[in-house]
Amino acid sequence: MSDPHASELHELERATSIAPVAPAELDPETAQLREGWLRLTQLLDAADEAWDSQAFAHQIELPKPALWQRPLALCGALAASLLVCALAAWLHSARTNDPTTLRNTSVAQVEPPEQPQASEVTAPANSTMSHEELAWDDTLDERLTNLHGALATVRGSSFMNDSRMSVLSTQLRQIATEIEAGSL
Amino acid sequence: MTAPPPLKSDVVRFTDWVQLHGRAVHGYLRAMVGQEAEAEDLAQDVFRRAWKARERYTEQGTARAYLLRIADRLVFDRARQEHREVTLDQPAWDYLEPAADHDPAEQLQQTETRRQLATALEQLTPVQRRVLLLRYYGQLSFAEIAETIPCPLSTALSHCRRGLLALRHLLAETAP
Repeated sequence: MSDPHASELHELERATSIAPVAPAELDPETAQLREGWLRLTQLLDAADEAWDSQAFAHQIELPKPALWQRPLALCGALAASLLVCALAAWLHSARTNDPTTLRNTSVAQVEPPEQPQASEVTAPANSTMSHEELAWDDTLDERLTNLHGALATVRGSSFMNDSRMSVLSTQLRQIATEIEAGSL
Repeated sequence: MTAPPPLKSDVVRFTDWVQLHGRAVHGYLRAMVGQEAEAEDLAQDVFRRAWKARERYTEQGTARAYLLRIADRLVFDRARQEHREVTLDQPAWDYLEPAADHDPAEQLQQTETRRQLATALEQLTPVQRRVLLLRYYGQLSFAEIAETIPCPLSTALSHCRRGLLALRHLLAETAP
């Protein structure tokens, strides 16, 4: 602090002191300054009377720490990420080993390419097909039903052929027996 | 002034700190901006900033002085953003009515007090007001005030003297 301001500084410190100062201790100029100061502080005190510090303290919302500053939240986020990764990996492997996909592939492979019906209903045998694409396929269902019906028809006709053949052979065996017996 | 509690990562102790210094911070801001709502917003902002910076806080000087420096910076930053000088808005002060649940006589008294305070503060230039309010609410030394504003010590003393004389003249004019 420079000396030229020392006396002024001392005067103003006394004039604006919070501690009580007897007016008799002050020179007239400082006393005038002190009056102005006391008037201002009285008004400020009166204006602050209604101040509710507790209510104000409750109003303040302290900023929450950043995510990286919260260990619990960080652990939670990490666990959630791992869970998502594991789920994605499981879905991928399930899609790759999906029997529906394999069956579709085999059916598509055995169907003759020239048959338009087969090419229409052949499901894409793509291992990267999404889970939604593996949902129930009416075309495939219809195709399987047709195939089942065709197999049943083939089996049924061969069964009938077998029956006829057995009746015929029975009758032939009966004729042969009658010839041998001389009755015919 | 009692020694300020240290700013740790302790919400309870910080709340005590708010209760201890909130009145001074809010009073300073209200006297500077003249609007209750804006002063309240700024006061909350002061404590939020102090909370954020609590790890960097070093107990140099008083905690109240530290908070008032933040408050002072906020007032002038906001004024700079809005491209205006920090001045009191008389109509805004007229709206500073006390709470409705107060006694009517008390309300009248408070309204009159606020009007007189607004009149007194209007006698001061913004920088005079700043010096006197930092001295009163923060109990800053003049050297600290000069550092806060910032200006030479002699300039801070000059602003203080002129401000006090202006208030003294007002008192003489309004005396019965």
